Amino acid sequence: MMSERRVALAIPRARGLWRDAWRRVRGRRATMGSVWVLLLVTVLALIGPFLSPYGFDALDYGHLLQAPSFASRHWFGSDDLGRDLYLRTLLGLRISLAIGLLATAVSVAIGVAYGAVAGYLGGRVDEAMMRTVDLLFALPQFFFVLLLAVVFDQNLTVLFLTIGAFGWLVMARIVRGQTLSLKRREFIEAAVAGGATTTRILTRHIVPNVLGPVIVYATLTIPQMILLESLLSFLGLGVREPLASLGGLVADGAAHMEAAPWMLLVPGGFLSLLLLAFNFAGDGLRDALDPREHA
Amino acid sequence: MLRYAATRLLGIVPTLFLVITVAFFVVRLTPGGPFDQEQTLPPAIRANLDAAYGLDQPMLVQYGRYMGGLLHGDFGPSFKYRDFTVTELIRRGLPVSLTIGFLALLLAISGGIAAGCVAALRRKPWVDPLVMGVAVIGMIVPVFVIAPALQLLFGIELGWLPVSGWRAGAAGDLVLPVLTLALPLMAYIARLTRGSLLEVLASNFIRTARAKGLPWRRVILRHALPPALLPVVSYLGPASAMVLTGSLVVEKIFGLPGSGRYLVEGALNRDYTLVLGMTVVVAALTLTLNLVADLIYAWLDPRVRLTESAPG
Repeated sequence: MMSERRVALAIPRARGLWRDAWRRVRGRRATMGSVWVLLLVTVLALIGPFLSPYGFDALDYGHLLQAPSFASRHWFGSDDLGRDLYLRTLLGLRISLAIGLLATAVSVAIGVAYGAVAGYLGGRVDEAMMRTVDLLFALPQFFFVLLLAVVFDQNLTVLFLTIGAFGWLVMARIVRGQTLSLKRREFIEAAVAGGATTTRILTRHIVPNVLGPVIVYATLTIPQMILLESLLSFLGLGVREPLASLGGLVADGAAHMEAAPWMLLVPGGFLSLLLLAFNFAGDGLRDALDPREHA
Repeated sequence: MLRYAATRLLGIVPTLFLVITVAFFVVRLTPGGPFDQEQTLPPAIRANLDAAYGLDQPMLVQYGRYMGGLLHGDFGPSFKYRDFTVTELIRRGLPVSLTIGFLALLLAISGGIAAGCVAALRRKPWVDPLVMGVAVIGMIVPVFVIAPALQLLFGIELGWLPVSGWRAGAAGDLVLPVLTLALPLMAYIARLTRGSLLEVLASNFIRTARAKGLPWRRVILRHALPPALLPVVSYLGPASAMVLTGSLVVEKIFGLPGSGRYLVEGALNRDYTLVLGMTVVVAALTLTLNLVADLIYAWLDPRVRLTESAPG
């Protein structure tokens, strides 16, 4: 009886990569804190706007440049036109989150496809494709985003796409590197021997196996995309009035900071919090998934 | 070395050519001309305007003209600032941008390396986390949040420095813009320096240097620091691109009459030639600065120039 129990205890349950990673993530206070912050901010951005009695573009002439207060129900204060800052900040958060996620999705799609093809085909194709990436790296990408934003008249959909189209370079390099080491493995050889087409090998065998690093880097891409969009909006070239993203709100706040510092501090604080949380979460995830650090 | 430099310099030309071509056609092939935004013009006036700016010519002719103009520094007329050519606007704004950019880069490099060394050589246990904590915040919090916050603190609350403005380069006007522009780079360079210095300090030749009795200061300055700074040198290329991007924001916030502000205003006004011209200038500048960074790297690390300029 005793020995039976001992045997049962001695065999640990098999743990997969993801389970292992989750265990490591849970152990880190900074990472877990960031994940909680992100969850809270997301919930706030989704539900919060319904709690306010105001409309996001409604002008409240009784409370121009109102400081944050409960009595006026402008919890974060109001701007120079009497618009409620609580609502505008939360809607700005929504836009920033949406752009961050969608633009990242675009850049992941391009980067994974590009990197996997370059790495798998190899040779001259690889050489040419990676040279192109090097070239694009050397250019000031923001100026091209700006050029496209101007040319396409700040259309919101085009904005997602152009911002996303500039985040894929590092992703392509990472995926290419992973693909290079994958393609010499036996299971790829087996697939080739079994007569699988190149497309099938890429989509069914290569791509699923590079997902780990892709997810980690995608988490770190989101804040970059959010930052890029807010930068455009700050300059007045991103999301247009009456909508506002956090960058646009910071620009408004900077214009009125002497009379109404909360107009700067509230959206600026939320933007910084969001970027910090995404970066910490991404770093934590990278450490947790990187087997070299925990070998 | 000279041969390596020449090869790399020649490599810039086709790249720049390609960039200009792509930028030109992106701007020109999309629907909507520079005169579409205003009230509809009578067709005759419209035709005259198009003819005056050469917009009635076939696209390839326009492209040829633009490229020909660029060869002797003519970026064409500005569509919004009708009294100026784009070249004049660039000549006016660029010195301001380059001044703050250069100073910011200098501050970022010196400050970043110093902070990184202090953190890596931690004499007191709290120094390292403190420096790195500040560095993380400096890297992540966006420039356009930090800049107004600094204006609020130093310009309005404390009243030590002018909030914004430009009086032909009075020193006080430079402090906040340069500081803001340098901060994220300084933070990144500090992290780079700390990381690579710690790595170098753990290597065998440092132990040898200490074992033969060299003073600690000499070990750091002569043996550890030069190899540890290689990553910083290779970061100079991306850093200069960041300075150029950052100067858009900094010039807007601090009201400096630099090229970045012209670019943003040009973009808001749909001034295609101005935006196109600025993009070309910035691309040329970034490529050149990347080249300079690579050359410094090659000069410091002979492995690079020997392998890359080898025939074949």
